[in-house]
Amino acid sequence: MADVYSKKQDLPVYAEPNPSASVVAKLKFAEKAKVVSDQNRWVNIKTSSGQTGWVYSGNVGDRRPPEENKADLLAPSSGVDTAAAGRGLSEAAQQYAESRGYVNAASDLAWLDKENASVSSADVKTFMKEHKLGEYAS
Amino acid sequence: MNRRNFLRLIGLTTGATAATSSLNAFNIGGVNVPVPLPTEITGGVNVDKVAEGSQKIAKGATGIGAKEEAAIGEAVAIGIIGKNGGLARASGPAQKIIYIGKSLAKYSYRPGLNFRFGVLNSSIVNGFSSPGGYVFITKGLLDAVGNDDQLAGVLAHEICHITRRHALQTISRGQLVSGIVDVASGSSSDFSAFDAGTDKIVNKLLDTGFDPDDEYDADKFGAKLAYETGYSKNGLKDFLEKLKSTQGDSKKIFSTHPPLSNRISKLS
Repeated sequence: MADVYSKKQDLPVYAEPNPSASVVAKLKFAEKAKVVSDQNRWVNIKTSSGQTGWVYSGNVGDRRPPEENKADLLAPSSGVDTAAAGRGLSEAAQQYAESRGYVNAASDLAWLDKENASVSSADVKTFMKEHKLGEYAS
Repeated sequence: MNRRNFLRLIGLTTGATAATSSLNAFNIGGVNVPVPLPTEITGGVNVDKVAEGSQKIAKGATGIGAKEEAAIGEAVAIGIIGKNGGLARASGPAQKIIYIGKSLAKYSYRPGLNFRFGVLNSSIVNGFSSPGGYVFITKGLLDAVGNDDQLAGVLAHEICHITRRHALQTISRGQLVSGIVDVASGSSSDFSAFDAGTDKIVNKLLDTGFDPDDEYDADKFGAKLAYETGYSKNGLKDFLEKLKSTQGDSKKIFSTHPPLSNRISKLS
């Protein structure tokens, strides 16, 4: 049986291949599971503790994610829209913008941060449901 | 212009004040600005300690940690924007690529990274990425794509440059790293070295692009990412074929990428 690894921390393992099903287990970041079968982008897995269930294929990979990816999941900006918008540029980036005459570009970047932060994780979930994307396809 | 005035100009001097159960502070222009983190995000965890912990996680093969990547990415993004006519701020197209881009990012190998998507005010057909999660496509590209599958294919390609750390590997392989990383981490204030290094990265991204192997790698993993998000796995290939049929292997189309014919062949 092939192995898959969780890309996320506390990835839900569902009783059925849809995100409305009950959660029977959770996988930690980079946790390995055995592939039992797959069906329409859903993967039936068996966890190291022997629990079987379904994960969406986009949430797991066939190679272990690099350890440094965990920093993304722990960073204050991870999925936090307001924090990302209010964080501001690093001093190094500010200095670069000033020294190269890119003040307008820095202003654009600040606008971009806010524009992106205005789209929350919940908004993206709604969009994906409306367009039947990813785990919300069926 | 001093830093305070500069920050005021770009609108970064106002702190957020929403009531929340957890506050995190970022230093902006010498002022600690409280930034609220909702409890559904923090889960009651002390975010300051978590952020500190995230810096202690292995920096991986590139030797460039999250904090350094963010600072380098911002500066490179500023360079990309500055050299491409600024950002197109029309809200409609910008919002569309944000929604599609964030949907793709959810299933990428770095789902926790703060990806941001923007449209460059340029008529050329190209896409760029910067470390730290910045993805740009040109207005020319946006006008040329035929449907959302093709747009998703392009965005997925650029996302994979970031998740596969192609730019960071280029930096760590070359002589650029020494002058950049120390400043990006805050341990050095030799900004002239940082500026010169950033210029080299920006010029490489905009003039010659990534190594061809990195481009084919991003094509391959991007097609997989698009498919897993629910878009066609052939979106990028279809777009490249459309461009080839109308433009040939013109140097003005994806000029920083390998020839269209080679990319189409490898995606087939």
